[in-house]
Amino acid sequence: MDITLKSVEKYYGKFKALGTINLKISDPGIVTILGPNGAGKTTLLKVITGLSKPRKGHIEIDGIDIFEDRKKILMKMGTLVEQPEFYTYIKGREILSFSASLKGISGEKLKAEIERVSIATGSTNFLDKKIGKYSRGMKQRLGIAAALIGDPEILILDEPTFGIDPMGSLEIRELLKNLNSRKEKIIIFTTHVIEEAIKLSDRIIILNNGSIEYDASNGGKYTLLKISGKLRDVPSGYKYTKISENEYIFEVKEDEIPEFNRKVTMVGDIEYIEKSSMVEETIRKLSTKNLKNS
Amino acid sequence: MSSNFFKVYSHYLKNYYRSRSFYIILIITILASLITSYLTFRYSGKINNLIPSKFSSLSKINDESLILYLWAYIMSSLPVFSSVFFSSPAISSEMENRTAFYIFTQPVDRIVLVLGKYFAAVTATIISILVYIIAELISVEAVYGFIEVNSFMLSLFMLLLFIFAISAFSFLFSSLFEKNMYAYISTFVTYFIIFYSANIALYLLYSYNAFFLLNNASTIIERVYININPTLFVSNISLNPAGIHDIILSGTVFVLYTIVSLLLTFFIIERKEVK
Repeated sequence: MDITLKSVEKYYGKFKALGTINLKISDPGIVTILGPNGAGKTTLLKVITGLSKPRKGHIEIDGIDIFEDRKKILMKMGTLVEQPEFYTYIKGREILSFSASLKGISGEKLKAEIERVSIATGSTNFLDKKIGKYSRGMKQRLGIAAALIGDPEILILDEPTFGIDPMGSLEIRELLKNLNSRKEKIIIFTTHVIEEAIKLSDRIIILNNGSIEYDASNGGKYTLLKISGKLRDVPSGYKYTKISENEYIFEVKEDEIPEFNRKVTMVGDIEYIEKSSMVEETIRKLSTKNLKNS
Repeated sequence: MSSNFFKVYSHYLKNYYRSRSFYIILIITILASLITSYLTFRYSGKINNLIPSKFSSLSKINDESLILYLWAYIMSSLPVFSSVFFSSPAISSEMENRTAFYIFTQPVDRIVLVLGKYFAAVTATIISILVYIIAELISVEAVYGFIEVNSFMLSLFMLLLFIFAISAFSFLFSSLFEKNMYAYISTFVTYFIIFYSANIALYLLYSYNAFFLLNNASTIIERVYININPTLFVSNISLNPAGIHDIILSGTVFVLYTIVSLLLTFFIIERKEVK
């Protein structure tokens, strides 16, 4: 199970919504896409789900181009893109039943599946009302429930806590944590809330003006090292993000840290190296910078 | 594919028959049925007296044919209004109401989505017009004691083909726009202004009967009773029903409009981006 974006570019008219994006997501876990408004977060999700076609590049899910076999790929995906709307005269339960039937679920299994996702998203109480009577938060919960139908391998959620009350947001975060507990799925979600990203994510990607500015593991098997100083050269073999003129963040495996320290001091005048305790601050700094730029 | 088609079809049909639009169209149809029923009962046997003397040739026609012609004349307009309600916003509404984000990420081919929704819209149109057909049957049977079954069935068959054609045509317009209002206006303007003006202009300037225009072809629904084309200023009125050639020609026009419009809609929707 992997998602690969190869040199993807997306324009709306002359506006460049996504620059040249190269991205590979293959490890199960939560990947959070952070970024200011207009950074390209939703566009990126639209491209991955086949809602938007890029001007250049390819999107492959498990080696299959999304535009070659959209149906097959969407069978493995659960999506919530933008703040979804549903048909006014249809009941929530009918939406879930429709989604489940399209994923080949029927009979008793269908009922059980609706029960499962509605309990998980706290939408049981209003499933038998017509959607025209739903609040924004109810629609959002229904959207998440529809995305969870069929227990998809890939879950794509665009600002899942949008419009949901604080208690509900906590529940959704708990739900994401639970879904991620077995590390069997790729869960990609976008958010503006940095705390949410830090608490939940295995990997954080920051987008700004349609380009990836930061892409790093959030803890896990890599350690993030913040380097302050002037680098004459960049040590090869490490993923890094330049966050300012003399500040870099490198992803380094724990057991390779001593060797990395040696290499980096050879190629630069290093003022200090800090460990991953700086991740939060770094993301904040990047986000602030991005917000100012946008 | 076929099982997904039925899932999509029933999903959309539910949304159609529960909608306000459906009940508005139903009320319009009931009103039209009541008015035409009143005409049938009130003026049976006196129709010829109502015809102006300059159309004296019409007085030779039998009462029932003229009544059935009038019923069919009104009936041929109903699918146009129904399709504006049900089909014109079919795809544009998915964009405008943002339901496209949900429906286009479901594991189903977009062609199946369009076909399912198209047949649901056609079904909703047929159901809404059924009231009018039942009222026609009851009124004509009550007044004349019998109905010209062959002409009646032929008229209904042509109506069915017309419903498929006008709905497909409206779907095509709907696929071009992302706002319902543009889709509504374009369908209406094309059908009632562009087609009618082109039809009249071609006839008056070049004596050419533009049989290929949908509004012109739709007159076959009433012309199976009396061959008067209400979209043209024809001086030589024929009191006979339309000939087999006219029927086949109009039927072919309906089928072509349906196929071409749907193929173009499939082509557009496959490439449609959800922004």
